Amino acid sequence: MVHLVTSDNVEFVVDKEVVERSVLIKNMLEDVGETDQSIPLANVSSAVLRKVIEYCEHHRGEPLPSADADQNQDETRKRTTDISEWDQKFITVDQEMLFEIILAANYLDIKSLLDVGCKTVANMIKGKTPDEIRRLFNIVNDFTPEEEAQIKKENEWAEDR
Amino acid sequence: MTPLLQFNVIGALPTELSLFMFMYLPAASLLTCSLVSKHWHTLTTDQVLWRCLCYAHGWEWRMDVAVPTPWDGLGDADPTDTDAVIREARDEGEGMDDEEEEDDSVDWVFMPMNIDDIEAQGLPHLLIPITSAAERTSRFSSLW
Repeated sequence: MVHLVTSDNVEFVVDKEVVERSVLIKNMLEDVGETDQSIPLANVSSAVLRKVIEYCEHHRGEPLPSADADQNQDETRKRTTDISEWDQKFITVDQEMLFEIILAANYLDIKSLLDVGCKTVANMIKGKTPDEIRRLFNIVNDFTPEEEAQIKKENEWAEDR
Repeated sequence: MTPLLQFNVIGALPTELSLFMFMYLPAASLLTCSLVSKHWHTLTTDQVLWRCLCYAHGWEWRMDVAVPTPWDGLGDADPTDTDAVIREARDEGEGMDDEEEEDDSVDWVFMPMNIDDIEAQGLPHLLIPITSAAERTSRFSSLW
């Protein structure tokens, strides 16, 4: 079992097999060896770590993508935004939690979770108008009408696609 | 999915993660996103994204054929084949290159002739003609 302590000082005791889906922690454990000392995760809160562990527990035992294979599949992988049913349910959270999960997945180096997070944001954007996107993410349009017209003109080449 | 809290996820992420997310979007969506705000415009017009899209379509990133070819004399290249590749890249890449930096300033006298040197200087695009298409794809995908 591995002991983790979050930024808000909550201790989690997790199966080594589960927590090793995080490449960061896996490498850490390999470097340190067997230890009863807890690992401090200063960038992750308990609410977020609970979600991350839930994800790792569900995907326990699945093969981790090797660095090489991952690079070769990069292009094809990037083009599909399909998310499995369980992952989709798991990632149905408010936008702030989604943001925290993406950051944590990046920090802990859990590639598949980072993918799920980014695909989810991409799916939220796909097929929407600029105005709908602004409303969705609460973004202020800081273009002048002239700037906006200019960009629309620059984007014309793709219009009949 | 209905967001419970309106929040600019992408604006708040570090740039590299924002770009990583934008890599999941097709060209049309990227262009729509470029109209959202100035910050989004900067992100969505990043060359990394458009380069990836080009390679995903099997297109070469456009090069300027007027520039002297550094692979002249390297021996391995088939000149006919090289021209075809470049022509194809130019034809299909039309309109994708507005912000491409021209390479006219490159001083070819100091062109590195060793493959490792070329890679070390971040000029892997110079290697295109002397590698196979398959190798080329993996070489570029490994960059992003």
